[in-house]
Amino acid sequence: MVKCRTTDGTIALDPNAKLIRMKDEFFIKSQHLAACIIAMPATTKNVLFYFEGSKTEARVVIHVAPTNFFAELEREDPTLRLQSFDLPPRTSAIICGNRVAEVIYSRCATTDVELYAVHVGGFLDGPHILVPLFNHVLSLRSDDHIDFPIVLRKLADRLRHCLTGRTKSLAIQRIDKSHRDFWPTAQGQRFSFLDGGVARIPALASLEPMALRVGIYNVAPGDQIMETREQWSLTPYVLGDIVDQPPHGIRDTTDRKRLHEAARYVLELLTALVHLELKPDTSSLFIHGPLVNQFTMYDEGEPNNIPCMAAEFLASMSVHRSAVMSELLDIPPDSRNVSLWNQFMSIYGYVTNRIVNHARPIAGVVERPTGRHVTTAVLAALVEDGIINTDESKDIDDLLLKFDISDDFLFGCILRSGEYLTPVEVSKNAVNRAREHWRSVVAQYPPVYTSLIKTEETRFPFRVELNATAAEVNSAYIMSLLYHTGRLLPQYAFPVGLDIVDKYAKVPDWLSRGISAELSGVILRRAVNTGDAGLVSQVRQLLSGNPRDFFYRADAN
Amino acid sequence: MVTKHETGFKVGTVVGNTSPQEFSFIVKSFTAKLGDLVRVEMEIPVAEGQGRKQVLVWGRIVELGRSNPFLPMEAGQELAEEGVDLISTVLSLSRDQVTGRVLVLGATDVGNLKRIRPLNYPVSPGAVVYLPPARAVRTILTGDETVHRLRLGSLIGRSDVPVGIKTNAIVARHMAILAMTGGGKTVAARRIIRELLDARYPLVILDPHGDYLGLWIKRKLFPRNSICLFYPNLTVSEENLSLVGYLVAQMTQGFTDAQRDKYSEALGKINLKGEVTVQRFVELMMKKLGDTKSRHAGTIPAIKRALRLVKGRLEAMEKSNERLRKQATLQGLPFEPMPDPRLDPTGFVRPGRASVVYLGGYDHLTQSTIVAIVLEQLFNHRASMENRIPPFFAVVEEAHNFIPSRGEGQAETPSVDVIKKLITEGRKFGTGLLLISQRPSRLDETALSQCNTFLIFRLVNPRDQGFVEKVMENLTRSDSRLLPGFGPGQGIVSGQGVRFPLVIQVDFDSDLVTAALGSEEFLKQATEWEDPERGVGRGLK
Repeated sequence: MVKCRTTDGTIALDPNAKLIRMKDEFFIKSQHLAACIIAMPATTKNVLFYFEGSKTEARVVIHVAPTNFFAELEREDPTLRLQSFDLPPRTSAIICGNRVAEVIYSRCATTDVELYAVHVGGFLDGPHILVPLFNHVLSLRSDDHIDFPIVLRKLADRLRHCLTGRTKSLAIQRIDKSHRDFWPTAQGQRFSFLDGGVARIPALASLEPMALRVGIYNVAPGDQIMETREQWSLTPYVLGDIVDQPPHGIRDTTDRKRLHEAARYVLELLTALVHLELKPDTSSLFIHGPLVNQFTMYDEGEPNNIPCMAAEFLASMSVHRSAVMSELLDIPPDSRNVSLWNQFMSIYGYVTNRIVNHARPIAGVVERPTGRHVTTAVLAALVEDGIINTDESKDIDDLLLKFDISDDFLFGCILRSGEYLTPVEVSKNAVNRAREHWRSVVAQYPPVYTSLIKTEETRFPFRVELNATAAEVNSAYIMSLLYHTGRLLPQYAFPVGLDIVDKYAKVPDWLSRGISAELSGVILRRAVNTGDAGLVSQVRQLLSGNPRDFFYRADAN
Repeated sequence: MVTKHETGFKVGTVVGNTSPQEFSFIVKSFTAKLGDLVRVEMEIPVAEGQGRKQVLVWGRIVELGRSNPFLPMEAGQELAEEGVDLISTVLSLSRDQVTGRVLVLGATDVGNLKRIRPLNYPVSPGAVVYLPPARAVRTILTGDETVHRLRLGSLIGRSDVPVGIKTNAIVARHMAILAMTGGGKTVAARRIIRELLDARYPLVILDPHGDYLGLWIKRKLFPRNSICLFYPNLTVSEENLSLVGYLVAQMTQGFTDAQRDKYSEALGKINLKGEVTVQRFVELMMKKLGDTKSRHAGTIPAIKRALRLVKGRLEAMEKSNERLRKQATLQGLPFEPMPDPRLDPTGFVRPGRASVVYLGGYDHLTQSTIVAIVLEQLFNHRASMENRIPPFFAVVEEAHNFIPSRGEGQAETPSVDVIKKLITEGRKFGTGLLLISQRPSRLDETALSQCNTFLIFRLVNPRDQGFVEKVMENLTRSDSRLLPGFGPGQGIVSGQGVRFPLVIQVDFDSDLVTAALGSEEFLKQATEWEDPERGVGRGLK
C-alpha cells in the first residue's frame, strides 16, 4: 500500500501498490505514486519513503520534506551526524532502524499526523490494548503473526480513507470535547441508565442463578434537589416466577444457561419499556448492552427446551397476547397447536420492536464490540455508495476473516479520540440460523442503527445501538452525550451513567459468599417443607436479594 | 427486657467481620457521629452446655468513613479542568455510604445496665445498631456507683448525657490534662477547680503565667471558699540551710572543693533563729566569710562573688515578679508573700482554700525550686501523719517545665524528684496532682504514666500524639487519630476517673472568664501606644 499527500493536500491511497524486484533492484509499482511524483514541483528536493511491514505485507508513506529539512535536524541535534548517513542524499540514501531513522520519522509524523496515522500507533501500543492484541495474535496461524499489525494498519488506513469525507450517508464524525459547552445543553433533561445483574448464590453451587435484577439510574443534570435529581430503582425477578407452568415451563432438559440469557435479554428490555411508561419525562434511555441480540437459539426445541414465559407475569408488565399477536405475524404453534405467543422468541421480537420503534431515544451501549457486524455493514454501504467495488469489499472481507479482525480492533485503529461512525443499520439475526418454524418471527426482529465511538485514543471504541428515534432525530446529540459521559471516566472510557448503574445492579460475589451454604440450604429446606409456595418464593427472593437493599444497607426507619 | 423508651433509635447495621473487641457497621445517613455510644443486642454463650443469653453490647464509634462508590475520582478531575460543576452532569451525588467502626466497651444484661462486663463473644453481623437514649447512657457511664463525681461536660453531640469523673480517682490518683495551645486546658482545669472548690477540697495551684489569678476576682462565685494569691518568698531556716548552696550550684559554676570547705565553715558559724529571706541569709554569710581565713587569697572572694550573684539574680526576679503583679491587669489583686510551707502549711492548705502561687517573673530554675519546696514540705506534712493539713490537690501548670523528660534537663530541675515522689506515693497520703501541659512529649514518661486519669484535647504534633498513645494504656490508635481534629474544649477522657474512654465536650464556664487577665488585644495596645516622638498614639494605618 502506498500512501501520500497530493499537491492539493488530500491523501492519496493506493491499496494495489506493489513492491517488485527486478534483478537486484526493487521498484514500487503504483499509479497513484507515479501521478503524485509527476505532479510534484520541479523544486522538490527531498522525498522521504517510510516503509514498514513484513516480507509479504508492507506499507509505504511518501512524504515531501521541506528543502531545509535535514539542515534543521542537524541544527537541532548536531550529534545526529547526518553526513555520515549521506544526508541530505545526493541521489538516494537508505536509513534503516537506527536513531536517525527514528528522529526523521518522529519529525515527519508530528508534522502530518493524519498521513502517518499516528493514532493507530498510539492505540496499538496502548497498555490496555497490548494484552488483548497479543492474545489475538497468538490465536492466529504462526505465519500470520508478523503480518497482523501491518494488515490491521493497512485496513484501517483504507477504511478511514473511504470514510473520510467521501460520502454523506456514512462517514466518520467528530465531536469536540468541551464539558463547558456540552453540559449546559443537558440541563432540564432527564436521562435513564439501565443495567441488569444476575443473582447467584455460590453457596448453592449446583443451582444456576435463580434471580435477575434490573437497576435503573435516572438523573436530571442540574437539578439542585437531590431527591428529584436522582432516582434509583432495582427490580428483582425470580426465574421461577417469570416462566410458565408445565408443560411449557422449565424441564429437566432445559438449557438453563440459555434460559438465563434469554430471561436477562427480555427482562432488561421489558423493564426499560415499563420505566418509560412510568417516567414520561425521561428524555433518553441508555441500556448497558445491545438493544438487539442474536436471539435465534432460545426456542423450545431440542436441545434448548426454553420454556414459555408466564402469561400472568407478562400481563403484570403490560404485555398481552393480543398485542404480541398483532405486533408479530406468523407466530408458530406448539405440537398441540397452541400458539407460542409467550415463548421467549416471540416475546423478544415483540419487545425489540417496541424498543426500536419507541418514540423516545433509546440507545444500547456495548463495552467491547467483538464480532464484525459493523464492518460488514460498512463495507456493504461503501459498495452501495460506489466508494469501493465488490472485489475490493471481498478482498477486505477475506483479510478480516483470515486475521480474525473484529470491530473493536479495526475501529480502534480507524477512529481517533472523539470520532464516531455515522450509525448504520445492522441486522444481527440471520433468518437462516433459526429453526424453520421460527424464521418468519426472526425475520421480524428489527435491525438497529449501530455506531462505534472512541472516547480515548488508547482504548477500544464502544458500540452504540440506537433505536429509530435516536438515530433519525438526534443521533449527533446522543453520541455527544455518550462521548462526554465517557470522558468522565477517562481510564475506563465508558459512559459514566452506565458504569454507575452497572455497579448498582451488580450482585457482588462478596455478598453471596457472606451467605453460607449451610444457612442458605437450611432456609430453603424449611421453606420447602412448609409446602407454602408463596413462602418458597419469598425465600428465594431473599437468598438472591441484593444486600444493598436489606442486608448490607442500614434500614433504620 | 429493654423497654421501648430505652431502646433508642436505629442508626445502622453490623456488617463484615466482627470480634469481641470491635465491629463495623453501615450508618444510616446523618444519624450517628464520631464518639457516640451505641449498643447492639445479641446472644452470648452462658457457660458450658448451659445455652445462651441475650446481652446488650456497648461500644463507642471511633471511626467514621464516608464514600460514594458511584462518584469516580477521575470524573471530578476531568470536570475540574473545565470548571464544570458535578451537579450539571449525570454523575451521582446522592449515594453516600457511611461506615463506622465501633470499639466495644463491654456488655450488660438486658435488664440491668449498671454492671458492664467484658464481651467474650464476637458481635453478631447483621445486628441492628442503636443510639441509646440519654438515660441508658447515663446509667452505663455511672453504673451503680454513687461516688462523688466532678462534672466535666457532656458527650460530644449529646448534651443530654453529662460526663463526670470520679473525684477520688483524681484527687488521690492524679490526673493529666494535655492539649496544644487553645485546645481547652485552662477551661478544663478551671472546670475541675470549680467543682473541687464547690466540694471545699483544698487546692494548691502553681501558676507560672497567672492563668488562675482570676479565681480571686470571681471569688463571689465561691462564697464557701477562700482564694489566696501568693508570690514566692524564699526563706532560709535551720532546716534548709543548704538552700543557698544549692542555688549557688545551679545559678553559677558552683564551688570548688576548697570553696565548698570554706563555705561550710562559714555556714557552721551561722546561728539562725526562725527564718530569714535568702537575701538576708546571703548578707549574714558574707559577714561570716569575712571572718574566715583561707590559705589561698582568691577562695573567699570567689565564694562571695557567687553569693552576690545568687542574691542579685533573686532580687532581679523578685522585682520582675513585683512588676508583673503591679501591672494594670493585676493591680488590686491582694498578693501576699507565700507562707513557709514547712512552718505554716495551713497557710496553704485548709478546707475550702485555694492557694494560687504566682510564679511569673522567676526563671525556670527558681520556679522549679519553689515548686519543689512547696510540694515537698506539704507532702511531708501529710506523710508524717501529724494531721496538720487535710488532703489536698495540687495543680501544676506548664508541667513540662517542672517534670521534664530525661532529654529536657531533669538534672537542672529540682522539682522532678519531688513530683515523682508525690506521684508514686501521694495516693497513700491524699496528695493528688493535676499535671497540665501543652507539650506532652517533653514530660517525664514515667511520671505521666502514673497519672490514672487523662483528659486529652487537640494535639497536632505527631510526636505528642505518639507519646500520649504510648503512655496511655487505653488510648487506641483510632482515638489518637481523633486528636488533631478536636475543636476547642473537645477531648477524650480516659482512665480510672471514668468507666471507659469517652469523647466529650468540656463545659465552658463563661462566668469564670476574666476579661482583664485574658486580654490579648495587642493590636489595640499597639495602636494606642504613646509615641514619645510624635505624641499620643497615632494608631496603626
